[in-house]
Amino acid sequence: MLMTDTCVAVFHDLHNAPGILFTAPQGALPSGKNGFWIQQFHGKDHHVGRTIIEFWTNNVLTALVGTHSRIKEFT
Amino acid sequence: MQTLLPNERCTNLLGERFRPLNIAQVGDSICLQSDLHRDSNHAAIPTSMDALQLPEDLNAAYFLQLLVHHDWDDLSPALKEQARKTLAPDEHGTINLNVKTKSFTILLKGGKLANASTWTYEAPHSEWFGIFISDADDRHVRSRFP
Repeated sequence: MLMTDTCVAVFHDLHNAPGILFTAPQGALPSGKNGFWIQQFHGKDHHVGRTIIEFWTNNVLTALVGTHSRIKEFT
Repeated sequence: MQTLLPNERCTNLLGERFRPLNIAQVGDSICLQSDLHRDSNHAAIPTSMDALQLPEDLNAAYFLQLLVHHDWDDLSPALKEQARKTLAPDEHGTINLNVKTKSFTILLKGGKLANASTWTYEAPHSEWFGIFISDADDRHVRSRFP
Protein backbone atom coordinates (compact mmCIF):
# COMPACT_ATOMS: atom_id res chain seq x y z
CA MET A 1 0.00 0.00 0.00
CA LEU A 2 1.36 3.39 -0.94
CA MET A 3 1.33 6.22 1.53
CA THR A 4 -0.23 9.32 0.06
CA ASP A 5 -1.71 12.47 1.47
CA THR A 6 -5.14 10.97 1.10
CA CYS A 7 -4.51 7.86 3.17
CA VAL A 8 -2.67 9.15 6.19
CA ALA A 9 -5.11 7.51 8.57
CA VAL A 10 -4.16 3.95 7.82
CA PHE A 11 -2.81 2.10 10.80
CA HIS A 12 -0.31 -0.49 9.66
CA ASP A 13 0.29 -3.75 11.47
CA LEU A 14 3.84 -4.55 12.47
CA HIS A 15 5.70 -7.68 11.48
CA ASN A 16 8.97 -8.29 13.31
CA ALA A 17 9.62 -4.58 13.56
CA PRO A 18 12.73 -3.70 15.57
CA GLY A 19 11.99 -1.71 18.68
CA ILE A 20 13.14 -0.68 22.12
CA LEU A 21 11.48 -1.24 25.49
CA PHE A 22 11.85 1.53 28.05
CA THR A 23 10.58 1.08 31.59
CA ALA A 24 10.51 2.95 34.84
CA PRO A 25 13.30 1.78 37.15
CA GLN A 26 11.02 0.01 39.59
CA GLY A 27 10.65 -2.86 37.13
CA ALA A 28 7.35 -4.72 37.06
CA LEU A 29 4.26 -2.58 37.19
CA PRO A 30 2.75 -1.94 40.59
CA SER A 31 -0.77 -3.11 41.27
CA GLY A 32 -3.60 -0.82 40.30
CA LYS A 33 -5.59 0.13 37.24
CA ASN A 34 -3.57 -0.67 34.14
CA GLY A 35 -4.06 0.09 30.50
CA PHE A 36 -2.28 0.95 27.33
CA TRP A 37 -2.43 3.17 24.29
CA ILE A 38 -1.10 2.51 20.84
CA GLN A 39 -0.12 5.35 18.58
CA GLN A 40 1.32 5.30 15.09
CA PHE A 41 2.89 8.41 13.73
CA HIS A 42 2.76 9.45 10.12
CA GLY A 43 5.03 7.45 7.85
CA LYS A 44 7.25 9.10 5.29
CA ASP A 45 8.75 7.93 2.02
CA HIS A 46 6.76 4.71 1.92
CA HIS A 47 7.75 3.65 5.41
CA VAL A 48 5.51 2.73 8.32
CA GLY A 49 5.49 5.52 10.87
CA ARG A 50 7.00 5.16 14.31
CA THR A 51 4.70 3.08 16.48
CA ILE A 52 4.47 3.42 20.24
CA ILE A 53 2.75 1.21 22.79
CA GLU A 54 2.32 3.06 26.08
CA PHE A 55 1.67 1.26 29.37
CA TRP A 56 -0.06 3.17 32.14
CA THR A 57 -0.61 2.25 35.78
CA ASN A 58 -2.79 4.41 37.96
CA ASN A 59 -2.57 7.21 35.40
CA VAL A 60 1.22 7.11 35.38
CA LEU A 61 3.17 6.15 32.28
CA THR A 62 5.35 3.24 33.41
CA ALA A 63 6.69 1.65 30.23
CA LEU A 64 6.68 2.00 26.47
CA VAL A 65 7.74 0.03 23.46
CA GLY A 66 8.66 2.03 20.41
CA THR A 67 9.80 1.26 16.90
CA HIS A 68 12.23 3.37 15.00
CA SER A 69 11.10 6.10 12.63
CA ARG A 70 11.73 4.14 9.47
CA ILE A 71 11.20 0.45 9.93
CA LYS A 72 9.88 -1.11 6.78
CA GLU A 73 8.73 -0.25 3.33
CA PHE A 74 5.09 -0.73 2.53
CA THR A 75 4.33 -3.65 0.30
CA MET B 1 18.75 28.58 27.55
CA GLN B 2 19.52 26.37 24.60
CA THR B 3 16.67 24.74 22.72
CA LEU B 4 17.48 21.12 22.01
CA LEU B 5 14.41 19.91 20.18
CA PRO B 6 11.59 21.51 18.21
CA ASN B 7 8.28 21.99 19.89
CA GLU B 8 6.10 18.95 19.64
CA ARG B 9 2.87 17.77 21.14
CA CYS B 10 3.21 15.85 24.40
CA THR B 11 1.03 13.90 26.75
CA ASN B 12 0.67 14.76 30.37
CA LEU B 13 0.38 12.23 33.17
CA LEU B 14 -3.37 12.04 32.73
CA GLY B 15 -3.14 11.32 29.03
CA GLU B 16 -4.18 14.81 27.98
CA ARG B 17 -2.57 16.15 24.83
CA PHE B 18 -0.77 19.46 24.93
CA ARG B 19 1.95 21.26 23.06
CA PRO B 20 4.95 22.21 25.20
CA LEU B 21 6.46 25.64 24.79
CA ASN B 22 10.00 24.45 24.78
CA ILE B 23 12.36 21.62 25.56
CA ALA B 24 15.60 23.12 26.67
CA GLN B 25 18.73 22.66 28.68
CA VAL B 26 19.56 24.94 31.60
CA GLY B 27 23.01 24.16 32.91
CA ASP B 28 22.97 20.45 33.67
CA SER B 29 19.18 20.24 33.94
CA ILE B 30 16.70 19.36 31.23
CA CYS B 31 13.72 21.63 31.07
CA LEU B 32 10.34 20.95 29.51
CA GLN B 33 8.19 24.03 29.71
CA SER B 34 4.53 23.61 29.04
CA ASP B 35 1.22 25.38 29.03
CA LEU B 36 0.08 23.00 31.73
CA HIS B 37 2.03 24.89 34.33
CA ARG B 38 1.16 28.37 33.17
CA ASP B 39 -1.63 30.33 34.77
CA SER B 40 -2.50 33.97 35.19
CA ASN B 41 -0.33 34.41 38.25
CA HIS B 42 2.75 32.44 37.36
CA ALA B 43 5.13 32.23 34.46
CA ALA B 44 5.68 28.86 32.83
CA ILE B 45 7.39 26.49 35.22
CA PRO B 46 9.96 24.13 33.73
CA THR B 47 8.10 20.88 34.12
CA SER B 48 10.98 18.46 34.13
CA MET B 49 12.83 20.43 36.77
CA ASP B 50 9.77 19.79 38.91
CA ALA B 51 9.96 16.19 37.81
CA LEU B 52 13.48 15.86 39.10
CA GLN B 53 12.11 16.49 42.57
CA LEU B 54 9.22 14.06 42.19
CA PRO B 55 9.13 10.43 43.33
CA GLU B 56 11.07 8.09 41.13
CA ASP B 57 8.08 6.72 39.23
CA LEU B 58 6.79 10.15 38.21
CA ASN B 59 10.27 11.32 37.35
CA ALA B 60 10.61 8.35 35.01
CA ALA B 61 7.18 9.07 33.53
CA TYR B 62 8.35 12.42 32.23
CA PHE B 63 11.19 10.82 30.31
CA LEU B 64 8.92 8.09 29.01
CA GLN B 65 6.58 10.79 27.71
CA LEU B 66 9.49 12.43 25.97
CA LEU B 67 10.30 9.11 24.29
CA VAL B 68 6.73 8.73 23.09
CA HIS B 69 7.22 11.71 20.83
CA HIS B 70 10.91 11.53 20.06
CA ASP B 71 12.92 8.67 18.62
CA TRP B 72 15.72 7.67 20.98
CA ASP B 73 18.27 8.15 18.22
CA ASP B 74 17.14 11.75 17.77
CA LEU B 75 17.69 12.77 21.40
CA SER B 76 20.61 14.96 22.26
CA PRO B 77 23.48 13.40 24.25
CA ALA B 78 22.41 15.40 27.31
CA LEU B 79 18.87 14.07 27.18
CA LYS B 80 20.09 10.52 26.64
CA GLU B 81 22.32 10.79 29.67
CA GLN B 82 19.44 12.04 31.81
CA ALA B 83 17.16 9.31 30.54
CA ARG B 84 19.70 6.59 31.27
CA LYS B 85 20.02 7.87 34.83
CA THR B 86 16.26 7.91 35.28
CA LEU B 87 14.95 4.83 33.46
CA ALA B 88 15.73 1.14 33.71
CA PRO B 89 18.20 -0.11 31.08
CA ASP B 90 16.48 -0.27 27.72
CA GLU B 91 15.93 -3.61 26.02
CA HIS B 92 15.92 -4.25 22.30
CA GLY B 93 13.62 -6.64 20.53
CA THR B 94 11.06 -7.08 17.78
CA ILE B 95 7.38 -6.25 17.76
CA ASN B 96 4.44 -7.87 16.01
CA LEU B 97 1.22 -5.92 16.21
CA ASN B 98 -2.21 -6.73 14.87
CA VAL B 99 -4.40 -3.71 15.32
CA LYS B 100 -7.61 -5.41 14.27
CA THR B 101 -7.34 -8.07 16.95
CA LYS B 102 -5.72 -5.72 19.45
CA SER B 103 -2.89 -8.14 20.04
CA PHE B 104 0.83 -7.76 20.04
CA THR B 105 3.89 -9.84 20.71
CA ILE B 106 7.22 -8.50 21.80
CA LEU B 107 10.31 -10.67 21.52
CA LEU B 108 13.12 -9.26 23.58
CA LYS B 109 16.71 -10.18 22.92
CA GLY B 110 17.87 -12.80 25.35
CA GLY B 111 14.89 -15.00 24.72
CA LYS B 112 12.34 -13.36 27.00
CA LEU B 113 9.15 -13.92 25.03
CA ALA B 114 6.22 -11.73 25.84
CA ASN B 115 2.71 -11.45 24.50
CA ALA B 116 -0.50 -9.68 25.34
CA SER B 117 -1.50 -12.11 28.03
CA THR B 118 1.72 -13.00 29.75
CA TRP B 119 4.09 -10.13 29.21
CA THR B 120 5.68 -9.03 32.44
CA TYR B 121 4.96 -5.39 31.88
CA GLU B 122 1.26 -5.77 31.26
CA ALA B 123 -0.66 -6.45 34.42
CA PRO B 124 -3.65 -8.82 34.29
CA HIS B 125 -6.97 -7.24 33.36
CA SER B 126 -5.34 -4.30 31.63
CA GLU B 127 -7.67 -2.42 29.35
CA TRP B 128 -7.15 -0.73 26.00
CA PHE B 129 -7.40 3.01 26.32
CA GLY B 130 -7.23 3.59 22.61
CA ILE B 131 -5.51 3.29 19.29
CA PHE B 132 -4.83 6.37 17.31
CA ILE B 133 -3.00 7.62 14.27
CA SER B 134 -1.15 10.85 13.74
CA ASP B 135 -0.82 12.67 10.44
CA ALA B 136 2.19 14.36 8.90
CA ASP B 137 1.84 17.34 11.24
CA ASP B 138 1.73 15.07 14.27
CA ARG B 139 -1.95 15.74 14.80
CA HIS B 140 -4.14 13.05 16.20
CA VAL B 141 -6.36 12.40 13.19
CA ARG B 142 -8.34 9.29 14.01
CA SER B 143 -9.00 6.91 16.87
CA ARG B 144 -9.99 3.40 16.20
CA PHE B 145 -11.26 0.72 18.54
CA PRO B 146 -11.43 -2.46 16.48
